[in-house]
Amino acid sequence: MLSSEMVKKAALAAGADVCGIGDMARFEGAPKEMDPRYIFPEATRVIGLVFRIPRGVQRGIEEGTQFYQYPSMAYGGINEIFAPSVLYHIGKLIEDHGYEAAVYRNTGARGVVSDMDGSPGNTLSPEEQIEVNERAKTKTAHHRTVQFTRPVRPGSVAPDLQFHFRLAAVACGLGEIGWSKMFLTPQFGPLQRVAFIFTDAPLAPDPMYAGPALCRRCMACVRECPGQCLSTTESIKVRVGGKDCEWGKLDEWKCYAFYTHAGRKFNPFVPKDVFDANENGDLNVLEGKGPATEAEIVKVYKALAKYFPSWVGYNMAKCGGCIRACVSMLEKRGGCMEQRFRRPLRQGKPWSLER
Amino acid sequence: MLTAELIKEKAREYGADLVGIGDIAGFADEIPQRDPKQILPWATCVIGFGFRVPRALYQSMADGSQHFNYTQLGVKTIDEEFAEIFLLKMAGLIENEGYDACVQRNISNLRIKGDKTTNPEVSDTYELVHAEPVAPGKPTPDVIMDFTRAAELCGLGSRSLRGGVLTPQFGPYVRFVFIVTDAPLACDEPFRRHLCDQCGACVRACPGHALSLNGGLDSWQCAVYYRGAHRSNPFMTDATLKDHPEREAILNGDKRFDAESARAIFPALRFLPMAQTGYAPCLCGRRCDVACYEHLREAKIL
Repeated sequence: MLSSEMVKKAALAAGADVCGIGDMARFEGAPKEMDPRYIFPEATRVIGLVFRIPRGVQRGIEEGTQFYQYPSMAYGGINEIFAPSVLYHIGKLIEDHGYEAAVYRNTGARGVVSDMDGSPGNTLSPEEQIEVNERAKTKTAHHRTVQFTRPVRPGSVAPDLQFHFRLAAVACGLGEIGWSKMFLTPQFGPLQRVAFIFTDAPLAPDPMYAGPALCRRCMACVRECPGQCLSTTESIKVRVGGKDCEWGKLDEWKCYAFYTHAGRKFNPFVPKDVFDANENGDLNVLEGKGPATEAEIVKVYKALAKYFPSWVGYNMAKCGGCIRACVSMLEKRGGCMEQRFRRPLRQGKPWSLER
Repeated sequence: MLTAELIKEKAREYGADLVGIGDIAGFADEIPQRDPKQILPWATCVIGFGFRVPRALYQSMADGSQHFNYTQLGVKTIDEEFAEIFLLKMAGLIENEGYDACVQRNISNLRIKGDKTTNPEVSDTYELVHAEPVAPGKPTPDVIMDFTRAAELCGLGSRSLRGGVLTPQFGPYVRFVFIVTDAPLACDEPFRRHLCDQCGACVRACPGHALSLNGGLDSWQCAVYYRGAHRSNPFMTDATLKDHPEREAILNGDKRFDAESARAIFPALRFLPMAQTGYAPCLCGRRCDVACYEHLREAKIL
């Protein structure tokens, strides 16, 4: 008889750091196109797997000396390699007991609605590289457009269904959403990625997280965002499994621009002259001279992608402002990361280029 | 309690073939752009992990029967998959004891500012020419460790003529990753021997004449012939470089390539799929390494 304990033990043995199990009923109220119950309607449980991001991959960014390892190891490495391998192992265990295991890896930029603004067919994601040259050749709206997708049967939803990963993690009892919109766990603060399995196995669900608040609402994430992408006052509120979740309103398109290219004070790979010249106004978003839209983001991307090329498919994170701010404040003031490390991430004033 | 013994035991359990720990003091004379202390200023040591490349992958290239699997399994899978999972697991082990684990996978496609070489294994490399330090006293990012030097300091092997690492266990058939940490681990002695005896077997074996006893590796020359611009490439056809005025010199390995001319000829050297992974298929058979391995065995150095 497959039990929750067996699944959790196997998950940890395979490499997950934490495993939580939620009841699928906790997704009640989710927008139809983001409701995972359409993936596997008979599923009764969702298994959430947490994979820590080593704090060490943030160290080079904190020092301003090495940026490569974070996106490569902690985005690509976890999302593309490590988490799928663990999902595969746990999926086999569940199947061996006669149940279905609908494994679901991180699928940013593949859903029927935009990661950025929820509009249909938009598939740009700050984590994933835009194939600018290919776009120019084909003139399609996006390199991986899904604007023509439609339901395959009445009453269903258009593929590919992409649900809200962070809220699904909340539904598994693993933690809370912080003001930064990052998912926080008691074990790792904001430093993790998640993956899921939907199953009809009759597993005992975990309760929703009900411990001390993980986010202190200190607003360090707001203050240290190089693009001022997070609101201090406006928020988004949703209810998951009876638990209220609230986070600061995020300008996602602006976050995209700063996540990938950081702006003149936080991108040491682009010469100051390029920002000064701001040819054709391509860098208006980064220079605070205009609103962030998809079109403006593509301009930024085209202008600056060459200064730190990557062929791994993931954008090279340049800012990391919110995540490092969050870690350093949680370590200093408590909440969930105090005493985890013998030395805090932040040893002094964070760097900023004199430009 | 995190000890060197525990690190080594778990590393082998998680899949490493070699593990050694180098004292951070050994990096004291490293240039800042290569210095692990610039990533973790209070680092105490660097842990090096070696992953063997199965010998049969070289043999099947030498036999002329299979080339694709070396690139896929011997390069890409180790660097992009196996070693990444390994590093993430090891990082968890170290973090659980309260120490930082700055994982260092192979930064395949980037070169530090000032490094004009390339990595023949990938579609192209980019020198971070426009980068500047974020503050006075800081090195220009990205800091990219010298993996060969680090392997020596971790006691795992010595530098080959080609610039890679030779180990007593696997000769040149091995790849490395590292973790920079502040964990107080007992360190190993640096590798003191010189396994490369300058026999010149690698120089003679290279179909592109990319190696010399005095100059070591010419990485751009290597990149062209690694991709198969030589007569012994079994995928070569009469149509390859058909109208190129220097075709004969190229195929004979007599033409010298620099960054510009190498990049210019790359598009004509697409014999096996590359787009999916960004790794260039190895069509020279890594004859330098095969010759080296055979010599080390015959000389009873392995």
